[in-house]
Amino acid sequence: MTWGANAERREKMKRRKDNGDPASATGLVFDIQRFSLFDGPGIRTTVFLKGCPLQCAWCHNPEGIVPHAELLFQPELCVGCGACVAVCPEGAHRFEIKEEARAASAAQDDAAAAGQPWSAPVGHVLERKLCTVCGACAPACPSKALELCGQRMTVGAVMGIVLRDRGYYIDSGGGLTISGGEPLFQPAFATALLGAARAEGLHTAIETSGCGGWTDLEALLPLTDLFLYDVKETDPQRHRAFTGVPLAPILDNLRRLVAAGANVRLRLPVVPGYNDRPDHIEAVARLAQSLPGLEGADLLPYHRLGEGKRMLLGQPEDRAVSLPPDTGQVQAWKACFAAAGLDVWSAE
Amino acid sequence: MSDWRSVLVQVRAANERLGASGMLDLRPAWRAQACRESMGQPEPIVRALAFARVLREDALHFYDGDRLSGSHVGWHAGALPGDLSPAEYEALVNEWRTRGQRDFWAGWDHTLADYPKLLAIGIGGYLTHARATLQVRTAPCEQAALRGMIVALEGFSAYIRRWATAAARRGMADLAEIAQHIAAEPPRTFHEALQLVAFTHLAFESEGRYAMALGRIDQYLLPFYRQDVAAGRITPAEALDLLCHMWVKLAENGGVQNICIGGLTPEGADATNELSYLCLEATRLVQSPYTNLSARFHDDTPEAFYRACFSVIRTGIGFPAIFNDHVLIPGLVEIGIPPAVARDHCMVGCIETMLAGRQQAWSDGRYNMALQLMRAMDRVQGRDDLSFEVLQGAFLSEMRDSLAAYCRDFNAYIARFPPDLFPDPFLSALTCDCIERARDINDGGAEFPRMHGIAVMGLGTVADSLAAVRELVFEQRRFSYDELMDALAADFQGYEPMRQALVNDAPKYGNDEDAVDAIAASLVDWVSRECLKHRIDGGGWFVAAMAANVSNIPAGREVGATPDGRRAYTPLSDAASPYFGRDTHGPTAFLNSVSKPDYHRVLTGSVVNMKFEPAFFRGEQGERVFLALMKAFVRNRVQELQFNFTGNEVLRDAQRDPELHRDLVVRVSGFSQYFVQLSKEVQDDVIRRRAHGQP
Repeated sequence: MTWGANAERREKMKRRKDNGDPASATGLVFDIQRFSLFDGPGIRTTVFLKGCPLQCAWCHNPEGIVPHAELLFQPELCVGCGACVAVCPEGAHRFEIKEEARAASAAQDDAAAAGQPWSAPVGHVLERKLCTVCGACAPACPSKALELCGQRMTVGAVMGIVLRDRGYYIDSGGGLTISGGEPLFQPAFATALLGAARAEGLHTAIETSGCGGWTDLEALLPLTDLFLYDVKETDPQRHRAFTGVPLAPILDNLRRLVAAGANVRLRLPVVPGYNDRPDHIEAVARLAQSLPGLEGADLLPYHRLGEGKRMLLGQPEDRAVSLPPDTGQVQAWKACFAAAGLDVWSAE
Repeated sequence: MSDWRSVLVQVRAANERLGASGMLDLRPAWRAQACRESMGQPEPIVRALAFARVLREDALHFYDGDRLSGSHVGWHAGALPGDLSPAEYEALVNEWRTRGQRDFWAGWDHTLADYPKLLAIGIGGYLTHARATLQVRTAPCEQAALRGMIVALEGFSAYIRRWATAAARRGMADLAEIAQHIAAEPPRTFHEALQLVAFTHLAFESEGRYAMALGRIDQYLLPFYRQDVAAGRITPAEALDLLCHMWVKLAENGGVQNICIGGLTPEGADATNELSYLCLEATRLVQSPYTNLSARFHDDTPEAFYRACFSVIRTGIGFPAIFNDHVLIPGLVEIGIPPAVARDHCMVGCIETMLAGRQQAWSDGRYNMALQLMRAMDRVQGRDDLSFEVLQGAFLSEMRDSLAAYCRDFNAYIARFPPDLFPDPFLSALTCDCIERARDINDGGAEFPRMHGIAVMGLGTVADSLAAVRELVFEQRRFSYDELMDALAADFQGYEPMRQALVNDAPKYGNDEDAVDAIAASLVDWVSRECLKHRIDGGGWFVAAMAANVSNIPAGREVGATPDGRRAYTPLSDAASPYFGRDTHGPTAFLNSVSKPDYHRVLTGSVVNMKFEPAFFRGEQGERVFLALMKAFVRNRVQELQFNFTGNEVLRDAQRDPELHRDLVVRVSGFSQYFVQLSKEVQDDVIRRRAHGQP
């Protein structure tokens, strides 16, 4: 009986050399999510590119902002084996006995003496100031308390994963979506990836904040079946305050995209305390009316996923950014958009 | 239109009453009385008389609003009849118990009648055939077998006449007329045909059989339905109403009753028809856990059937399970079943394959594959030449020996039920070809011998374990074989970092990773071939099954810690599914993994459970997505799939025990995420939102 080609397969991967074709273009990817159902039609695989020029207060993918690899640390998964301490060249990892735990552990001394490091009351401290993100500790960590976020991948490697679900795309009308971070932050890679997907006959979509050069966006036009285009805030001052970038170029790109005949859906994050204002909702509706041929809009009510991820990045917020709206609020916004003649799909 | 819903309410109340303490089952006493009276006659006749006695004594019960006659209420009583003392009752029950009867392993239940033939020729047709055969098959054992079948059929016919009389007395003229006609004659209408099936099913239940199936109901009822529609005797809505009443009858019986729809005709054309859809609709309406609906698919199954199946699945009831004709049929043909017969198979029990009405009753038993792996791991420890290949060899030899032992044990067990002492006259009468051969079903009367499924436990656990040993011990050398064995012996006490590495750093089945999927595929292939090397005494095949039911839990209690990081005595992976919580790359990766094994020799059937968040599948887009998964199932030649839609209870479990729910995907907002990766607050948000009826 054959037991699979594990070793062989790895050997083959090692032999694969860059040969200058687009499939060997590389990009910084922080996640590839198969069976994505809400980033365009059908069953999709969404590729998340790392790096984003915006700094939205409510960002739900904070690990996608910085354009280089980062170390994610989830202390509650740590089993205290000390493997990271052993491999870290900078001494960034250390273990501290927690005072409050010390007393509680008195009764468990026997267990600790029996050589159970994980049950010892230790606190794993990561000194991020010392960390150079060299990537040594993550593979050594057996419990995935430490993980490296952001991996340089070739178009070929990404497509190798994407194409595993080809049959599902065909049957469901799905395909590839590039998200982020901001795909326009890695325009060459995004173009190559979309080109590769097109060559395979896949439906292609891109999720973008629209913050990028028009030439880069224009290059994506012939390769992209659907643009999912964020409109985060319609008031220029607030836009700059909430996201760190000006609004005008983004709206400019949006108008040019629509004028060029692109298939566009608006993505409308609604964040209580930020943009859940009647004037914003009305402005979005007016904007939509001014864009002929717009496919529609998706309402994205705020959720708190990003808060947990900030913890993993070592950037805890001292207070909640916002709170998820309740269903009634979402329905009310929907009704506002509908009243203004905008056909809105909502996650709620 | 009648109200099956009110009948269902009465049925539930009646079953509660029957389940109360103090209720007596009178059937064993009636049977023992019949045995006393017929002492000295050949066993088939004695048992047939016992069967007929129950049907004669049954105090027939109707529910208000019944559109089909038949109920099991009348063979139970709160008090003994006046002429029967408690001591005498007990003596009779003991007498019957001492006589004994077949059990599941020996070929008793989880089967069905040859319904197409019964509907074609009626009880009278069978009797005519049996009486004619009696004239030419004159050997004493043949005479006894045939007479037993005749007595059983006559008793069954008389039973239906009793129902006719009782219905007439209650003023239910239509039910009276139907019963009167089908007591001997073949049914003329859809309603009559359905009633005859209901009576037969009830008669099997009267014998104490469990998990009897209805087979391909959308095939054998179709001619009646089409004739009635053409003649203007019935509308689709009326037929649906009758099917709902039938489903309510099944709810009275309870247990696992398989109904098969769709698939191929014996000639190889698409068999999906109007009735397939009506059966789905009845299942969706009645929402009973007892109508275990199986939908057969093939490459030319119409799109509408996919949609109709999904409309039932999305209700969360878990039905229908879907089956792949392109896997089971070639498997049956390979062991020598003619293609036309193979195409006409159905399911019985949960998911098991059956040649309806032509075969001895199927059975299965649990075989612990994970235990064999652990024995092999013990055996090779300390060998100088220890390698992964050495471990494989030892594992396969453990399996070869233990499978042979399993088959020997089974054969020894069934030898305790010789056909002459344990004949089965009623089932024989309704099974092709017992009358023609003048033999009992278990004495070579059935057209095809039985199958015994060796239910292999722990595919995912074993595949993950082998992958972890190969990857971490023999390839990466992260720790030594002896260290691993020490950790397993200690149930990882003191070895948590190693356990974490075993869980996280080796590939796991269910993630579309070829390295471990190939091991699972090899295991399925090897074990299904190995089982088929063995034969049942008296004829029949040992075949692999990968359907754990819930036996993966007791099987797990036999096995200490395993190299996949599983803790000692906890459940093994379920059926043919990956180990729960270890598939973390979503449903497409999961489906790609389970597509890799070739299941066609796993002839008793395999089960792959998929869990879904219902909110994924709302609206048109949801339907498109689900259909794509079903089509991949057919195209990739997976044998069976069933679907669980998760509710808040599961989410709360996941909060308590995240490691076992790492595969649970929930929709958070406009996107989805693994539930256990969400912060507590977000999890609570999700649960709260769902509790409000909002996904």
